[in-house]
Amino acid sequence: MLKLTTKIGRAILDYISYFGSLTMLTANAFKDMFTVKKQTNIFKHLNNIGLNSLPLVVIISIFTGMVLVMETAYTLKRFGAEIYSGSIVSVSMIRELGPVFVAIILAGRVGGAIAAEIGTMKITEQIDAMEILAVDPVAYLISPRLFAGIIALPSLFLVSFFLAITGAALVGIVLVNIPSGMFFYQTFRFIGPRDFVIGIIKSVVFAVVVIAVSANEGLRTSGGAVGVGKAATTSVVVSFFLIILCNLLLTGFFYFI
Amino acid sequence: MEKIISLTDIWIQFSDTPILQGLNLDVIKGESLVIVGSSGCGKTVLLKTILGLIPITKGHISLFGEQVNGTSKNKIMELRSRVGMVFQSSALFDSLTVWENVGFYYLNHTDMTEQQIRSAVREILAEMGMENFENLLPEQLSGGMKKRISIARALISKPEIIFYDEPTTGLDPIMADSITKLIIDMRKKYKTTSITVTHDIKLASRISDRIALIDNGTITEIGTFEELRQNSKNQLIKSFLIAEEAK
Repeated sequence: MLKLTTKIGRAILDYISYFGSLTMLTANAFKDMFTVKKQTNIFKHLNNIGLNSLPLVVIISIFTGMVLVMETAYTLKRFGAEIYSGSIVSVSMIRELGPVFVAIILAGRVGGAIAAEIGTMKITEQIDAMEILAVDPVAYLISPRLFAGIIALPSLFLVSFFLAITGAALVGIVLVNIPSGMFFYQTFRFIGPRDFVIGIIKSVVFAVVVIAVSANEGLRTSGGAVGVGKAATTSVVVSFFLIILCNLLLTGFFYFI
Repeated sequence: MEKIISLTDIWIQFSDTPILQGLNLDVIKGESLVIVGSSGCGKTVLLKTILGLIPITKGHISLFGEQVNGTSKNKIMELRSRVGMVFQSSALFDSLTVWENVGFYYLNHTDMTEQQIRSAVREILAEMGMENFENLLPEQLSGGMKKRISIARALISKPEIIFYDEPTTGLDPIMADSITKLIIDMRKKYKTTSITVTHDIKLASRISDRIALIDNGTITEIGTFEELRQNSKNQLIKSFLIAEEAK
């Protein structure tokens, strides 16, 4: 019984310690984002996080829009309400699926790479070397990535939204035979500026989650190549979990206010 | 004689394993101290501890007369800007070219132009015998070259103390000899205090003013090479010397 209690207690302490270090890292990265003297890496990270993720976002968004229209039109047709399928795509993409999809793409494509890169730097003493050269690794490695993520993810989300609508329109107008005027009227009828703001806020939060989690995993890496692999995997898994959790909390928050 | 580093009753423990157990050590300004000891005895840990990279369990560390343990991040950064370190793995930044690695300190701490930094880098690379390598990436260099670049990076800011962690480990005898000569030349030129951790007793005999032996988490012997050679009864020191004589 005592052993079990000890195990549970230790697990709880580990979680508290993990989220404590994650919070501290995020706070320090935010602080250094505005105080670091030279941020020459930002464009490189913007390119890596934003532009290089674009092809994947384009394909996934168009296909998602197409699939959503097909699925919703199939059901709504029974009630003669297939003209509303565009509305369902727009509402779900702008508030839920858009930010979550883009964040998951970012976690898989960029988060794992960040954890692996920083983890490798950690085990090959490059992080120590940086500290000895009186350069703060958080300011040098993480703040520019955080800044780039906060710019890139909402931008990708907006691109993703409009591409999903394009994909939905292609299927809705050409295959389901919804008149184009009606399709676009219904698509934008139920969404407003508030929905865009909610989508952008969610994207910013998810960007912070993905970059902070992957950087934290990288900095905690130990144990050689196996440790680097573990850090990359853990960063993706924890990011996915936190994206879904944060989405739930934010959706609840915006629903009730 | 001015103490530039002072360690008092240093204890370090990883999980349940004690690494350093009540270690005391003073380093005098201008001297070259070599630390020897068997693998895993805590030599590298000691270097990193002095620079505040590894927290201590108990004790007091003073660097340039300032306390290291328990001090603020900014203060530690300020103290670190006065030292240089050559890592066992060289620890060059993979994504940066040779000139960016060597000029890293200047790039991040000064308002020097790229032209000025490149010029300073070229000058120190020439001293290292590494001209015309400035635009290569670390992956394009051999182990010995990386070590030279690492020494250049540590020396470019003209530090008051330089730490060498196993500078000749993993190098062939010719390259090891060349690095040893480089360390001696640089010491003559810059007159920097140096602390070197090594297994290489030949290197220790050539560069040291004093040699300290770490055993069981503490300094068990300290003195000049000759003093240890003549007076030491320590089995570990004897085995080091026998290994050297066998060479």
